[in-house]
This record gives sequence, structure tokens and C-alpha cells, in this order.
Amino acid sequence: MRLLIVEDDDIVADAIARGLTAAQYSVLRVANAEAALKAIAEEDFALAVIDVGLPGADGLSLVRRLRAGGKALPTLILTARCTLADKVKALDLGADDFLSKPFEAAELAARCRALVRRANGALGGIIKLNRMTVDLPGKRLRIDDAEVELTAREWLLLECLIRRIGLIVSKERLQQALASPDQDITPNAVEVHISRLRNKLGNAAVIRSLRGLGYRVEESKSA
Amino acid sequence: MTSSISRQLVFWLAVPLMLLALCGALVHYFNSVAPSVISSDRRLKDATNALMAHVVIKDGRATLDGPSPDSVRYALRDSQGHLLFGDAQLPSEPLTGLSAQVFAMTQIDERSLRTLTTRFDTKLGMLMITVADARPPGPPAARYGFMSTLLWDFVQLDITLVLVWVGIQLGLRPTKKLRDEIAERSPQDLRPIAESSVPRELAPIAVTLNRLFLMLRTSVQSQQQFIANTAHQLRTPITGMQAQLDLLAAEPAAEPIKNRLLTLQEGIRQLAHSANQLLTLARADPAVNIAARKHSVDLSVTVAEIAARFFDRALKCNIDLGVDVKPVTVFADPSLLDDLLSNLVDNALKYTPSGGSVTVTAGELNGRPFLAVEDTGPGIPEAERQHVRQRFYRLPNSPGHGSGLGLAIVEEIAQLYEATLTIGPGSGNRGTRMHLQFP
Repeated sequence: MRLLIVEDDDIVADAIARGLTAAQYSVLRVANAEAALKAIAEEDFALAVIDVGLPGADGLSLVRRLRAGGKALPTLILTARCTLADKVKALDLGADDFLSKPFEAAELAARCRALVRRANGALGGIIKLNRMTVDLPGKRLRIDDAEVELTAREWLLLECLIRRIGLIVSKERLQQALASPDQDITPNAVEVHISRLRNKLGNAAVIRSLRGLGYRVEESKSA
Repeated sequence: MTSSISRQLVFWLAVPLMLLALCGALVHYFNSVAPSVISSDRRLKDATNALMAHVVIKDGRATLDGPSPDSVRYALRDSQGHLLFGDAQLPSEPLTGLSAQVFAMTQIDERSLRTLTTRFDTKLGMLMITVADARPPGPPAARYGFMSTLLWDFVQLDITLVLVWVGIQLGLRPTKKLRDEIAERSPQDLRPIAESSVPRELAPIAVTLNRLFLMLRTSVQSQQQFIANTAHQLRTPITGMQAQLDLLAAEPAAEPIKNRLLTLQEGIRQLAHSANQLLTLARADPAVNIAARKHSVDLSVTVAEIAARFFDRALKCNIDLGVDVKPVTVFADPSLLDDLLSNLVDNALKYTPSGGSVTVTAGELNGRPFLAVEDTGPGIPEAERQHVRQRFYRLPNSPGHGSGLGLAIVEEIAQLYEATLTIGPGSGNRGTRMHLQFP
């Protein structure tokens, strides 16, 4: 899978490239917006990591031009500035995630992985999480090559969580996903279904709970 | 006492006007009283001439032929001063030298009388006739005229001053308008005053104020620019170093080298943290936020974002992170609120031991928004609760290598929004509760 890195600072760009290469991505480094547009026109990338503070046209205007050109390429914005206004602006322009400098190499790799997976989820693709394979169009879950049977509600929960992998999905959202015209779902019922789903996933994946807020699915660290 | 333009104007108008009124009364007095003296002298002369014409010498005695005039008092004396007829009270003035007539003032029955003594020759020799006005005296009447003139002048003056006062108030309206415009401005409002709406006399003040506003705006902007530039200049190399070092530390290496790399990593992390905290403190400076626009921020959204950001760290530390929020709006800079809550949550996670819990709450208390972070850590002793708000102060036995700026940042941002930070024990008198009450 190929990623594009748009960063003018050599030391940072080099570190990002090495870090992402170590995380099994193939990367292309460019130092300005014009080179980035040219590269994107020539090749399909799974993700672009874009620094805001580029010489000439900045990273935010690059995102605007990509979106204006109809490119759905997932983008992760890096910034050394600290204002949330930047973050809001970036997300408004159509950036998919935002990371403040300085960051840890592992954090960047995790965000990239989640973004690529979310893009796949949004496209309705097949998502591989370590030992687990989620086939969204086929509505099938496989763990270690074995088919796992899920109830309709459990499947709805898993799909909802998988499509927003790496992000916390609020309890209200899950409630809405489970609700049907003839039956309301209580927050308690969500907990019950989550607990059943956890049992079926076993140690192939973990559903974390942020008390009072929601749930997040992540692949288990054990290989 | 502060000076008032209205009062000064009235004072500087009232004093000369009063003097002017006094002068007017005096002029009036001299114009009306002096002619009356001249006319009364002429009357005395006429009366003397009439009396002299009626003095008849008969049988060696002088008598008055005809009716005695009642408008004058008179006395006829011989050259020795013996009264021949007339009013004995009237003294005759000694006539010296060649003068045949002399005016004098005399006191009779406590009244001032002007007299005219005239010498004339008859068959009986030289006689002297003294005449005085018998009517009520003129000068008191004139004096009454003077007083009434003065009184009338002062009444006029009072009316004039009232009109002047009203005029001044109307004339000073533009000044009041300018005063109100400046008084009603919020401290954040650095827009220039419209110089066209200010009268010419006040234009220099408006111009000077506008120049100050501009200087302040420029200074705030350049300070913000400086912070933004510094942030970029500091963070970019730190990011590079940290990322390179992270990669290096992941490479296989001998134990002593590995240990040194870990020390370096920790040092860089500390440097990054300190740079972030100092930049945040600079951004929270009231002087930088003078003209800052405030946005409506839903605290429950801020809490959700930050809880999600700290979720991984809480998992790593085996701390149960939770939120309990109701939608509630405050007006603030969302990034500063983000910094504020990040610091509170960061502190709570830092001081809470594994197995504990950290809960972020937001909502309304007595109709006012609040934000609180509660942990099950060791708590802050009462004696330390004021100290921990100070910059660079760290509790004894604090874990890790914090900068000691966290709560100072919280305090500084809270003050920007007139919120108060209360540090107390958590529920069940365990741990710490940082409670931020908005107005």
C-alpha cells in the first residue's frame, strides 16, 4: 500500500518515511504542494500525510484543491501550530484526521492504519484486523479462517464499530444503529449486545469502553 | 475633585457678567443721581431769586411780601447773623471773600439738607438769605433706584446663567456622546472611533485614541504572530528529533546504548512537553487575548474529544477513564478550553495509580456551566492547594518530570473567562476534584 508524504522539513519527512516504511507501507516523499498534486495525478495513493506549513501553497490549500478536484484520497494533516482553529479548518476543508507536532512515531502509524481502514470501511470493502477478517458487503466475519455466526444486532454493532475503527463510537450512535421502527433500544440493551459480541470475538479483537461516552474496536496486539 | 467643563464655563461666564452688572448699576446711578443734584441746585437758586424779589424793607425792617413758598425752607439774617425772619434752624454759611453765593450741606433733624446762602445789599445793609429744599430728600430715592437696578440686573443675570447652562449642556452633547461611546466599549473592542462623528475640538482626542487602539492591535497581532512562529520553529525540529530517536530506539542495539537512547527519548519528550506548555501559557496571556473573538463551545463536545484523546494513555496506565456530560454552552476560545481540560486530565492521569479512575464531568450547577475532573489519586493536602496553582510549583514526590505549569495554565485560562477553579477532595473524600465554575 502506497502513502504520500508532503513535508518540507527533511529530518521530519525522513523520520515519517522510515517509520511508515517500518509499518509495511511503501512511501513517496515530496516537499511542496505542486509536487504533491503532480504525484497524485500520476499515481493512486491510499493516504496522504500533509504538513500544514509548506513553502508556497500551504497544506490546507492543498487539501482544498484535492477536494475541489473530486479526489476522495484520505488525508492526515500535521501541524506545528497549536490553534484548534487550524484543526477545525482542516476538518472543514475535508481533511480526515489531524495530528499536532510533535507526535510519536507509533501514534502516526496507528492513525495512518486506522485512516486507511476507515476509507476501506467507507467504501464497503473487506477489512483485515490481524486474525479477523470483516467482509462488509458479504456481511461475514472470519476469525482464523473460521466463520463466526453473528445475530443481526451483533452484526450491526460490529459494522458500526468497524467503519469507525480507531475512533470512539458513541453509545447514542450504536443505539440508533440498533433501533428498528417497532422497537426502541435502551442503553442497557446496547451493553448486553456488546457483551455478547465481545464473547464471540474472543481474543481476536478488543472492544474498549470509554465510560459514559462509547466504544472503540481495536485489533488484539497478540499475533 | 475632577474639573467639569460645564462648571468652569459657568464660572468664567458668571464672574465677568456679575462685574458687568455692577458696572451697569453704577453707571445707571451716576446717570440718574448726578442730574438730580444739578437740578436741585438750580431750584435752590431760583427759589433764592424769587425770595429776594419779595424781600421788602419797610420801617427799617425787612419782611417778606407775598405768600411764603412751602416747597423751600428759608432764613434771612443780617450781616451780624441775627435772624430777621424765617427758619431759625437753618444755619447761614459764612461768606468769605468776594463770593456772593455758597452751597453747603447741613444736618437738621437728622436729615441732610443742601443749603444755598446768598449775600445781597439792601437799604438795611448787607443781608444773607439761606434757602434749603423742604421736600423729602432726593438722594435716598436715587439710592433706592440704584438698589433696584442692581437687583434687576442680578435677576437678569440668573436667567442668563440658566440659559447659558442649558446652552452649555446642549453644546457639550458631542463630548458626552464620545464619553459614552468609549465607556460602553468592551475591553476587547479595539476598533477605531469614527473620527467623522466627533466634533472638531475633540478630533485630536479621537485621533490619539485611535492611534493607541492601532498600536495595541498591532502589538497583540505581532505577539500572536511571534507565538505562532515560535511554535513552528520549536516544534518542527523537536518533531524531527523525536521521530528519528523513536526509530533509532526501535533498532536492535547493545544494552548500554539502548539505555542512553531511552534517556534521550525521555529528555526530548520532556523538552517537547515544556515547549508546548510554555507556548500554551503564552497564548493564554490576557495581553494576547485582548481582542480575541469568543465562540460558543459545547463543553460536552470538548470533553468527548479530550477523553478520546487521552483514552489510550488511560488504558496504558490501567485507569478507568469516564465522562458524565450534559450539553452546556460557554463562550471562549475553543483551543484554550482544549488546553485547559487537557492539562486537568493530564494531571489526573499522572497522579492516579493503576486501577484507579478519572471522571470528567460537565453540565450546569445552579444554572451556571461547570467543568470538573475527579480522580482517585492521593489527593492534594489542604495546605498545598494554593501553591499548586503557582507556576513551576510541583508537589513534593511528584511522579515523572512535569513542568509545573499545568495548573498555572488552567488558572490563567480560567481567569480569561472569569471562571473560578476550586481544588478539593473528590467524592467520598477521596482523590482530587478540580472544579471549574463558569460565570
